Amino acid sequence: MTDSQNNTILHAQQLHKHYRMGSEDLHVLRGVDVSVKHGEWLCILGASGSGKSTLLHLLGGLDTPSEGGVTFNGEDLFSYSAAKRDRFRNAHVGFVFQFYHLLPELNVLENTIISGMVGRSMLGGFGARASMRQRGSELLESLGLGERLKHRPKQLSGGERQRVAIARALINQPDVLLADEPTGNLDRDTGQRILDLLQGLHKDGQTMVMVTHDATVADRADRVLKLERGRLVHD
Amino acid sequence: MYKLLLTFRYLRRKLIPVFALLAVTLCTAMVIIVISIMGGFLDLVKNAGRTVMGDVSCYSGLGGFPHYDELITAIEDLPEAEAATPIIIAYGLLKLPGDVIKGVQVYGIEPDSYAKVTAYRDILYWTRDTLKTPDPLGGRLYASVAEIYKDHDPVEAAATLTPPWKAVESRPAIATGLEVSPYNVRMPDGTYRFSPSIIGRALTLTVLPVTSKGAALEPATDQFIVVNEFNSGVYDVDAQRVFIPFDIAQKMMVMDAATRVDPDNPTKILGSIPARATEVHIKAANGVSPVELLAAVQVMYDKFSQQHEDMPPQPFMSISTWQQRQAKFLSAVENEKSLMTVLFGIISIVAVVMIGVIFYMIVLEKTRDIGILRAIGASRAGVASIFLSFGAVIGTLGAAFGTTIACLIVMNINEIHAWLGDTFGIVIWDRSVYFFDRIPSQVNTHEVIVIVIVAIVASILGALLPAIKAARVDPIESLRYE
Ligand SMILES: Nc1ncnc2c1ncn2[C@@H]1O[C@H](COP(=O)(O)OP(=O)(O)O)[C@@H](O)[C@H]1O
Ligand SMILES: [Mg+2]
Repeated sequence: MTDSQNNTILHAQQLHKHYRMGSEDLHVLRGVDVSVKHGEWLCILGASGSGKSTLLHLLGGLDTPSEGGVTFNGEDLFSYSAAKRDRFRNAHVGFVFQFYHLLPELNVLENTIISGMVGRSMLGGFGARASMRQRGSELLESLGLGERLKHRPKQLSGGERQRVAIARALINQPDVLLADEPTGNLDRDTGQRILDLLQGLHKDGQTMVMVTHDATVADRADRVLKLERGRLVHD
Repeated sequence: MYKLLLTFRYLRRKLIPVFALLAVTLCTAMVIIVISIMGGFLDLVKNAGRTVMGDVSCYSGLGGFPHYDELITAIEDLPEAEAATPIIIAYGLLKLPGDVIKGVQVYGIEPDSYAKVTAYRDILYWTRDTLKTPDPLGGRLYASVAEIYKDHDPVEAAATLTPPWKAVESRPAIATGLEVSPYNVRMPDGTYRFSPSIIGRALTLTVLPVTSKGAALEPATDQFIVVNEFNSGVYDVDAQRVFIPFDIAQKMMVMDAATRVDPDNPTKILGSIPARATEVHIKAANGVSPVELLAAVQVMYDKFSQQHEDMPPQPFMSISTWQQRQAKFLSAVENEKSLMTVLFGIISIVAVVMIGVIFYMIVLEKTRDIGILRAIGASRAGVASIFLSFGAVIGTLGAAFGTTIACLIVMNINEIHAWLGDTFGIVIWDRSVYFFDRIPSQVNTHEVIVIVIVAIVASILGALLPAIKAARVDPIESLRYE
């Protein structure tokens, strides 16, 4: 293997995605090729409805492509069994969504460590509980939520919720963080602070793929690609 | 792990699970209450008369059969049998105080062996304890009965069927069912008023003897002293039966041993007629079922009847278990049982459907949560198991609450009933017109265990479809919107 191949963590090849709605065929992705390198912050810019979320879900193994494939460290994600792909998602990927998507019944700390719990068996979960809570609290503390561990999502502002979502995405120390318009639902200042936070993570070596329709947000990234008519083009 | 957390969080945060819980609780409680009380009644019907019956009995009709003592010896030699007792059953007229005449079923018993074979001692109403307990109506009546007994033990008097009172010592004794005396009035709460008591009084009993060929002889009459009363728990028995000593009954019924003489020349002895009894009741040895005992006795009797040609062969000598003799009740009981099974089948289906609907609502409401969980790596099986364990928890809690409620109600049903009667005048179960004297208040542990398991399984079953629905949730679709 060459160095550059070795350095690639995620690689998508000729990704196609169709949605069938009755007799209509919606060809959203029409041959997407992209490589994400270790430690890189890649931003994909695209208009609303261009298929950004679809692409991100495919990269994280949450959805399956109509054609083409995604490799993670050289392994084809879609050759995995469904259960193995679930485990892969849990161990190696962290998702951050525009609408935070926290579990309303759980408090901040529980929302953060739920990812850790999902990956463990019943016994393993009990055994690792204390250490998970410890790690979760530290993580939340570092994100400025140290005082809010017992609060429910309802009691938090949008920015705070997004930070909890980021903490949840980070709890398993994922190889790649996939952020879908993480600032899309926030006011400008709050959005900036979230981006500052992501930038900090990136500085510490976190690989990130972010999709957004907002060019100003994209500026922060190392590399920006545009999703247009189902294909990625250089900015 | 996360499944457990979510299971409990969903349980705590939402009102809907409370409805599911309530549904399981009520269904469980209802089934246990109905099974216990109705089942209790059915058991009572089934067991009716068992207190005064052996496990297995031999009888050939009112004419009786000879060699009963040899038969008893042979039976008692069987390892399956513990004890056997002869009985003479006859129908008679009992003249009670106030010139009340009642038709009664006369049981001539050997009280000693009869007590070994049946619960005779346990059903006696008057004991030293009864006499000591405060009278439900103010102490006067029980005290007056205690006055009659003086220092004598009422149970002892009945156990020997001899009057304990000096003046009437030589008279034969009689123990009557609690409902025989017209003075004994059963109150709606199931207690009795005795005003006055017939204990110690002399009653005149008339029976009509029959020969072994079935011809009626001159009626026989004698005076008996009431030594005790009994409460078998079955109205039919308590209202009609009286116990008198076996040998007296035998004489009155002309079933005792006699010599046969030539009718033309009374001094010429033709032979002897052996003494007769109408029934022999047998108690099974410890650990032997009535059916096993029955088989042993039947085999033995075949040989026995071959040795004694004047003994009726089977089936003229009918040998049967107490259940078989209760068959007229039992078939009714079986009908009730299948009715109950159908009823509980319906209740179970209702519970399953209810749980199913409620859980389906929860799943629909939680699609986004399911999508989130899938995104962070939970498997389809994982999210399905949240709802299955949710069902299991609801089922377990509901079954536990239901069982607790049901046990409290069933065990205190008589008190609750009394309270309802006292407070609101509601009398559902009027014990002054009774067949059995108490509402059954026993909870059968085995039945409860089965019901609890069914409740839990039904809850999980109800959660199954919603769980499959949860597993099928498309995470992408559920995460698209806020
Ligand atoms: N499950 C689906 N069924 C049908 N159409 C879909 C589905 N998911 C997405 N689409 C369509 O695909 C297109 C791309 O969607 P999406 O990836 O969410 O775009 P973006 O995130 O860039 O706004 C949109 O036109 C959307 O309506
Ligand atoms: Mg989108």
